[in-house]
Amino acid sequence: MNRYQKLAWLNLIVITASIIITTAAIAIEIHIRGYSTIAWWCFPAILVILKFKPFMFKKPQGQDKVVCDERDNFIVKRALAIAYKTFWIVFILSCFLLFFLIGPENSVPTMTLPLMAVGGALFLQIVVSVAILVQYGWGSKGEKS
Amino acid sequence: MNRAQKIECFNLLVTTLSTGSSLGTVILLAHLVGMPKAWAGMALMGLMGLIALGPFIFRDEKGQDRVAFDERDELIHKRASSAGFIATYAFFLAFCSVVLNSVGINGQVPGYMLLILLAGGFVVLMLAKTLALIIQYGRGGKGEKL
Repeated sequence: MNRYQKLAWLNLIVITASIIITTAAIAIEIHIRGYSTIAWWCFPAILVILKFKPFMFKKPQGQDKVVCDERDNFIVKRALAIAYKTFWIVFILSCFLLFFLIGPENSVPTMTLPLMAVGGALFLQIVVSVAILVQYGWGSKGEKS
Repeated sequence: MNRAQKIECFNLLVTTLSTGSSLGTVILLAHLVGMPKAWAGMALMGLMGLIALGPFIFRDEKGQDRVAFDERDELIHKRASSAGFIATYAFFLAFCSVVLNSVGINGQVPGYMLLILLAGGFVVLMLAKTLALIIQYGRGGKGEKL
């Protein structure tokens, strides 16, 4: 499994874990003492792990080591292109869906917009990771880096 | 100037014209009938649909000895798409910040603002992508014909 695959797996695991743990924390909090916004902080707290990616999977040092070749670059670029397209489709659909659900005369809470921005970024990260893993074939084929 | 440059110049023209005309109409209607009815001027954004005509207006010249699109063009297009996406996301974040600052965290945003966000995002995407393509190709022609 090469470095890009490891990074993609880490992205997927951290984002999934943050969603599951936050949902569980909110459910437990509601069950114990009612709803408050404290449990929501689990979400960014777990996502902070993603900032340590460069330290967890370091680029191989040494002159005889190849970090990535043309194929790897092509795979990453194609994954990004797929993610941009998917993001736009989901963004357009979510805006129209929300608009038609609430109606033109009604309003949405202001917090919806930043939540859409954060959700969009996470969605982009998930799509890029899945696209990279699908193109590499999910698992290891003996390559090391 | 090659075919891609011509199409992008056409896209830039259409995007600028449709955005300018719709904003102008919204401002004019705001003075005449007031908000929120003035948002009807945004309907002129529909002119951006003309972008779809670009490939038909600037047709690909047929012939076996013609290369319409090579690796360099592909790289330029991919870089332009990235620039467009980054610009759109920056616009999205700026829009959220402005709304949060002006309305407040406990406020309400009218439903039509979502469509304005969408239209604005599309305009920014087109402008950034088109400008990135034109800049990478070098604005003018360098003797290449297609």
